[in-house]
Amino acid sequence: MNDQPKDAADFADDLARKTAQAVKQSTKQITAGLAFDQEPLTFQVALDELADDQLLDEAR
Amino acid sequence: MSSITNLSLSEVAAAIAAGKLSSVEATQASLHALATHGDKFNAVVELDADVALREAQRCDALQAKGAPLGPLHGVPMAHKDMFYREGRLCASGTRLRADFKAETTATALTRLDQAGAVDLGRLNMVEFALGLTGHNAITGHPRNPWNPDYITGGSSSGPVATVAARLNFAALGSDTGGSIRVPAACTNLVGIKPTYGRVSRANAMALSQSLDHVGPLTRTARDAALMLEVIAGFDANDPSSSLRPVPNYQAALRDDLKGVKIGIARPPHEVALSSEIEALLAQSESQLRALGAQLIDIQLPPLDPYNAMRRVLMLGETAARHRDFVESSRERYNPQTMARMQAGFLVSAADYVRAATWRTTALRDFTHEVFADIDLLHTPAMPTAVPRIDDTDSGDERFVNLVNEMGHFICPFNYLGLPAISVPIGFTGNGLPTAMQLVAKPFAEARLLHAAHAFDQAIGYSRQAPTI
Repeated sequence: MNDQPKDAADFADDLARKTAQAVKQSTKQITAGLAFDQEPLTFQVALDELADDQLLDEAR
Repeated sequence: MSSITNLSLSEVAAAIAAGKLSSVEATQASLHALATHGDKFNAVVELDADVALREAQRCDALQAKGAPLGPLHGVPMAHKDMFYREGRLCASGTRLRADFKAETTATALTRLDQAGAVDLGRLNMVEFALGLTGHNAITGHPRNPWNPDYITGGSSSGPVATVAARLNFAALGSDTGGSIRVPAACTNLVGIKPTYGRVSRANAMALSQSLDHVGPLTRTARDAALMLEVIAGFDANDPSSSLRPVPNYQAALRDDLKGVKIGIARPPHEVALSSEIEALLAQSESQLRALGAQLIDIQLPPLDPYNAMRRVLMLGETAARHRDFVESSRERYNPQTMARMQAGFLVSAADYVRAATWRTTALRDFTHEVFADIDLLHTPAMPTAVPRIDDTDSGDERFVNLVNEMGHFICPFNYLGLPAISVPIGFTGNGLPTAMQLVAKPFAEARLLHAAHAFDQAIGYSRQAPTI
């Protein structure tokens, strides 16, 4: 049994559908042109590289 | 509040180390304040008074024997109810985990233990840390000590209510989409979200593993530096944690900002600022300039794409984590939590992977473009004044829009993983605090803390406490 009021449940369903639709559209638009060969797991490497760049800049 | 609980974290640590105050006295004072006033703000879940007092006695006995002391020796603190401690309940703001007894201890708590801190107990939070206003219909909405009719911000709601009200010296919080910085902004506290990987999340309740950050909520930047230095650093139990050494953050604190270049994010913004927020931000710029900072106007790239991609990661990861619970016990969730989470079950794997993949490109581009000529970025924390609880409890589309606006300037830095700090800048017409956000390059937390500290020394926000 779901004890959520019907209005709340309907709102949640509606919001989920709208959000999912928006997510799909925005992801398509924002990530358009993403390189086919882009490696997806380099985020933390990028953080480290950028921090190293900063240290090098400061040392100069 | 008592003269003891009015001390900052750094002050109480120094007083105990100098033998001017015992850990038992500090612990009794904080326990008394939390027990007396905590319920007023719906802030406390459970206090472990007996355990805490025994630990405080042990701290005092060690000190009497001349044992080496950690930087937080004997200092009592209570934390958000999502950090596991072996053998103790950890409910994460939900009835689904009301009986969950942890079999491990969160690394952040272990580090505080190793520094000598005394754990007082568990503080209220948004259900599963999924919400920016602080609402929790199950445990009761936490109340803002500056005015109990107003939200605390969330999800670290109990922590900010207790620290701001001078019941608790400092607290651990978590930030997946502003859950440290927004509540800090709503309560005149300093909230720092460190770089992704700087602080271990091991054995803290996870919401979204790509976006979750653990950090301190404190009254001063000096306190934040002290606490961050204790909890930061590599942890083999958290594969995302960084091997980079932890700097001495307290040593970086100076009273001026000479030589610091701060980029001021100029309008137009995608979300409009209220005129009173604009005025307070302008005042903060003058104050930063007076401290010796060089201010440089910049136009930020649009933030909406980062917010959108953060949402994809959060929805996908939250849905994956909660699917079993939702399938078996959907009715036990707070309907607002369910409404936020449900879209995650409709996000495609392809969209999730694209959002994760774009993250690296986004981080590199943003950092190179925005930080080319500046050390720190200055943005609003929240675009409008802190709202009332009953204006934000509707659960309708208005509420959804408000939450999106509240997080607009904050959430991009969860996706980008950059360190960011919320620093109080004054009060709006409703008597509630507001804040600026400073952002830095990866692992440059020392710069954030330095600027926040210099600002506090000049402006004195940390000396302003609510009357409770």
